[in-house]
Amino acid sequence: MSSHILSLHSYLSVNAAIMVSYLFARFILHLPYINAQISQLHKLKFARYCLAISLALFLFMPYLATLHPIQKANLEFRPVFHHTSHILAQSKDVVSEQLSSTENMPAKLPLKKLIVFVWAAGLLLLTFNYIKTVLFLRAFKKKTFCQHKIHNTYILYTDVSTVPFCWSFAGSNYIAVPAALLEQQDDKRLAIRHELQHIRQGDTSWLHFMQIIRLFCFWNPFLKSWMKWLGELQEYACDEEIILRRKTSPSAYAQCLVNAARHNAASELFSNGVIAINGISKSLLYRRVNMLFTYRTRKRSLTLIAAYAIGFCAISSAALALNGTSHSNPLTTKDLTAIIKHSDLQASFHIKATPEVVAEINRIRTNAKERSIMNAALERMKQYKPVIQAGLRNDAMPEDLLALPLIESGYRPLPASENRVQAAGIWQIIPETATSLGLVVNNKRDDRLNTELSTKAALKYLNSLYAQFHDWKLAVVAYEIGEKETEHLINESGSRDAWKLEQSYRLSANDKNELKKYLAMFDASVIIMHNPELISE
Amino acid sequence: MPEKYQLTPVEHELMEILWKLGQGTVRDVIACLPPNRHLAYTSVSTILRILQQKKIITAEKIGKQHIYLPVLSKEKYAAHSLNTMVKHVFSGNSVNLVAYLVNQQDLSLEEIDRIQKLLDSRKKELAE
Repeated sequence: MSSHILSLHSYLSVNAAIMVSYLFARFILHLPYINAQISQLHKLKFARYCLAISLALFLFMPYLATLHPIQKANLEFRPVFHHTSHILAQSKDVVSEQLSSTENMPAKLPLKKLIVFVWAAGLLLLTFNYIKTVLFLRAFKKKTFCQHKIHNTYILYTDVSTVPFCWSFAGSNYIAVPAALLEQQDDKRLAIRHELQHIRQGDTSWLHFMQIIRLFCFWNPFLKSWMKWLGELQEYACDEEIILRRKTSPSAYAQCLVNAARHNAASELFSNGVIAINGISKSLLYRRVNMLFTYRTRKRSLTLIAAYAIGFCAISSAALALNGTSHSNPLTTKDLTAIIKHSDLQASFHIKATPEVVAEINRIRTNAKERSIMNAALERMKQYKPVIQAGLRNDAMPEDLLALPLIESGYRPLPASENRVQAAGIWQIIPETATSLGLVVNNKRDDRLNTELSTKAALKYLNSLYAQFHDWKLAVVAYEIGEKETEHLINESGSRDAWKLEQSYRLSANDKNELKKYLAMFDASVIIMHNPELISE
Repeated sequence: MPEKYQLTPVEHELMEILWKLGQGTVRDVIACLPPNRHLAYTSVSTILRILQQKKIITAEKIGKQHIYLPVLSKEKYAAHSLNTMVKHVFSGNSVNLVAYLVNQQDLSLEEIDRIQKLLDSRKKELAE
């Protein structure tokens, strides 16, 4: 599970979560009825809830989806991210391939490396900036004079800053108040109340959280919008809470804001604070003052519940659509039946979602090592495909026979010394068969390692097996266990269905399992060959 | 002289009162403020405690009250302020300051005489 969480796939999910939650949260709060009924503090809480829940849902949706009692059978509905992350993870890049074909150009444009480099540079720069701010605030703290301490909140007076601001670090909260405010008792009181409200709302802690997300997703424009919007909502919520809680007069408070803005205009020292809050910008000031005179006093819990419910439903649907299944989730028979139906397999091998095939596909799918072995084999297959495909088409044979070397050798031209029956090459032909097919096999030469010759021989052999059994599945079985053995099994089991051959009394329990395993491997390979996304990393 | 001797305008205002009084409580300081100057008790108390942290004044607790005493004398503060001014405004050269005083300020004959006497006596001290 941890490897899944730290994958490219989940990185894309986090970014999508940021985007989706922003769009939904803004849209829902923009609905006239909800907008008119909810207080600013609840708007802030709702926005945070949307962000948090979408991050959680997007990351864990693949696991949540498996808990759902009704597994979806309709695989036409395909989560977007598996494909995207799969494509991105592939090192091949069209542009670089085209460039590499011209000889004078550099061999390969490292576009992927460039992206990773830019991302890492951004991450480093922002981490540096974050540490710098923390150190700056520590140094700043030493130059201030602490007069009051309320639990773990310190009120610091400073000669350096002209605007009040606050921050949190390592469990302690700090409010910096300009010493000049001591002359204006009312402004000072409101400023401290305001900053305390920020701390009470958890704004300073959220700022750290947002900054940590920003370290990794700094390029995401929606994250920037989130931070701006949350910043505004925090200020509105603070302003409204102060007026409602302490019965402060809106006009006195507005005057205080204007005074603070005047001071702020004189000093831009903290206006770009990374983890310190100082919510006075010129554009925001007007809206904040305006809000002070239109605040809501009524509490509509029903509207609030509705907003939360809509938010949850919308975000979870989006999470399901974008990231609904995990490649590490086992497929059900129903799923596989749908996949087989949609992947347009040839009728030659009458492939069905038998329990053995489902188990075999899940064995590969749910195991990272097996997945990578299969993916490597599929990658090697691309190299041999043109030759084999041409041969198959030439003899009007089913193209799904391409799956045979996948299970025989994983498309590795293995030497004879690799196994006890001395089979060799991608088709794993044994010496006797090879010689009978006209291949030269001796100490100096082994034609089986020559792809073209061995392919020709293997196809010839398969053709002859088909001529004997009139069924491609039986031909494949005969390819593995020999034509005589197959003949016996057909006679003894009284069936020409490859899956029923095991009913023959002659087979030991072990042999039965071997035969079933071979058939399952072949069918699974054909299905995976047609649907490589089933085992995408 | 260390940076901590720098005072904000309000701090300077309260220090002037303390220098004049010699020592005093928060109430004493507030009593000496001009009638049109409104500073809250808590503000004055906070400013005095900031001054205490800056080590410009000390506090003695007598009964329930704190009595504040200046550590930094007015002369020392004046010297420090003037040094800072010479350093920042007159490029670190005191002659520039005197030149400014003599040329730009409207000095009366009497004042010039007094300056002259100060200069003469200083000259004598240096000659000996």
